[in-house]
Amino acid sequence: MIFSILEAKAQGLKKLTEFEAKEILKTAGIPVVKTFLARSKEEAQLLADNIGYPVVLKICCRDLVHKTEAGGVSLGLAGSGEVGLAYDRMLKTMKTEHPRYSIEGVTVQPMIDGGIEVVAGVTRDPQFGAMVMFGLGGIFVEILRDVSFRIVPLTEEDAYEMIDEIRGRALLDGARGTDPVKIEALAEVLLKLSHFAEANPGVKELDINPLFADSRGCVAADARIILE
Amino acid sequence: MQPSAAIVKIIDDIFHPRSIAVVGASKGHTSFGYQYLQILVESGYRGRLYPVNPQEKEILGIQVYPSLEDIPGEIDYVICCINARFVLDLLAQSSRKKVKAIHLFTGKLSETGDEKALQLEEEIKKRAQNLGIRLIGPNCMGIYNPGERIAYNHDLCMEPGSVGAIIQSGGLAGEIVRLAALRGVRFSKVVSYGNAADLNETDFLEYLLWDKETKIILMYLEGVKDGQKFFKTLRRVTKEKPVIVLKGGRSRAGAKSVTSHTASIAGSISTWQVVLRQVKAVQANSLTELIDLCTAFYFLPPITGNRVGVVGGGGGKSVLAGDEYEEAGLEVVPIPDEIIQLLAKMNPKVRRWLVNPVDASILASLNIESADVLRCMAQSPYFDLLCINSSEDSLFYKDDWIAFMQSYMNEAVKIHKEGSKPVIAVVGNPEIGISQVDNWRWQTLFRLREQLIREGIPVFSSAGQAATAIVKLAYYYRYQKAEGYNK
Repeated sequence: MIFSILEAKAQGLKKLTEFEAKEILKTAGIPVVKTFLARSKEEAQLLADNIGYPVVLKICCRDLVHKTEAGGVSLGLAGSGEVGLAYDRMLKTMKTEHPRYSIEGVTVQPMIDGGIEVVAGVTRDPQFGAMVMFGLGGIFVEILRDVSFRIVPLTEEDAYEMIDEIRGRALLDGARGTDPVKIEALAEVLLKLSHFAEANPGVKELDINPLFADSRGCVAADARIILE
Repeated sequence: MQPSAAIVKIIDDIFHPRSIAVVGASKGHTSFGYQYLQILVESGYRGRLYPVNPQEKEILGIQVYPSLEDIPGEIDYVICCINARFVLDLLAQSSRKKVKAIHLFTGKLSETGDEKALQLEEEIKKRAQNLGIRLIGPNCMGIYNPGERIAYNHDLCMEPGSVGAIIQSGGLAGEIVRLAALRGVRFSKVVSYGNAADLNETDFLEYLLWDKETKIILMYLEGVKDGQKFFKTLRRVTKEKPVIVLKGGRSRAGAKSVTSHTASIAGSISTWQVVLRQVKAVQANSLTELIDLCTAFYFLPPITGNRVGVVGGGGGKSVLAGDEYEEAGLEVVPIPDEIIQLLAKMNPKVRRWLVNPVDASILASLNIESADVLRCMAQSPYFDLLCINSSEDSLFYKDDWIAFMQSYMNEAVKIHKEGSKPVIAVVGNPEIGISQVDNWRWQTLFRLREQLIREGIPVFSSAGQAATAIVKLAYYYRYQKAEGYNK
């Protein structure tokens, strides 16, 4: 298990697991949803009972880049029984589809409801270096490409401007009957990503997807870090 | 001394040489060595001029020296027009003559992509660095400083102005200056710096920020040497001076030609758009827009408002002008009641008919002069900017039309000089052919166009071009004036 970029570099790793990525984001001051790693079905059930339902289970595996597509994510599990079934099903899928992948366990986290899904991330341009990305989640980022970029280091003004720049900006103000999102919290995440990218030149790509945002703040529900 | 202060001093010296040696000067009229010498003579350079060529005694009546070291006096600046393979030797000679800076017009180096040429450029760069000689280029036109009567191309305007330009390309260096000069824009200092083996875009940017004669900066770039340094410097510069940037090599096809053209790696345009937007540089998307923006920034005060009053032009032309202004992001605001009341004293029918943009043919039928409306708008707090439209399609014939146009333009110039509102003009179709230049209509329009430019009014070829430039100008000044982000 890796808890810092330096450690990962020292071990020559290219990818971090979701669990590791979230630990590192937490250290960088970015709010992350409580996430625990279970090594057995019983441990997963015990953790889920403690967290409170509904919960989310995800396969924790360094080689698995697209967890959802590979059947490695189970959302909205309402009780201990469902957790057990999901645990068995996901491990079975992994064993048949990706028998060579080494699985570290299964993460257990609370299911977040409400709020708006946004995405944030870091990438590197060959000429200008690190860039921070922001966008609305789901189809907005995947199909409409409604995202904005800024070169690192970001100023506070940059962070607010890149949030204002997206076409779907009105959705953050509660255009569909929800409470307006706390924009300051989003801006703070973008600024922290800028600091993180500056301090960790070894980070090639970073995704927070989704980042749940509501009127109280925001929290990272999944994360990915790719190293140089 | 700060590193940036040292660079500023080096570049300032380059722009003010007391003597120039043209190495590779020749009698052949198509040789570049001849051209540089001829240009410096023609532009009236006042310092000492030393042609260098072992085969010649005299060119253009000027004594020629067989080598740099045969020149009796000090040499501040060398223009090198010889083949790349002789450059290392020239560096050694220059060092013994204590030359501080060399402009390498010489090409066929890294821009070719050839491995040997790349190595040679690298060696030239290292040798110059070790000898403490600064380089402009290779593969570029060098410097244009009208204040010192130094030019890099024929027929460039020798009247100094306030636009400083950094132009990576050599071919565009002359064209940008000439096109802008047609619009009345004058330059402070211009550099065409090519492959940037030594001094690069960021160094020149630092210099133009410092240079007091430069108020506006214009850049044509294909790539940058150090993206982060450029980004941070540009961000600092735009807080004090507007920087208008045209990035070449935006499409993938363009990007390919960049590599073979000036040996720089063009980033993807999306990143460039991010950079320019983030640092509040003013982005031009074509050469035409670059010249339009330059014209707008050169003549207009730092306006931040968007409300335009448009007067002149016939019916359809006024309607279209209104559309183009609105679509670009200006507000074609209704004419306020106070103005209608005032004009109604001249003719009560005004109440029904008068809208912005103001149709000149309607005014004519009401016996109201275009200038009367323009003057009212100039006094009104409801407008930020006034635009004069020309009415080339009037039914008046020749002398009557000329008198009509001349009188409107004269009044417009007066209103401009009274200074209560900035005035711009959309006059003259630039696409007339040589066979039409004697036609009275076009002659009049181009004479009026020149009169307006001479009086300090920015003139554009279409309403859309004017509007696009002004929207970007107002956006820039709003940011420059706002301190930080206003939520």
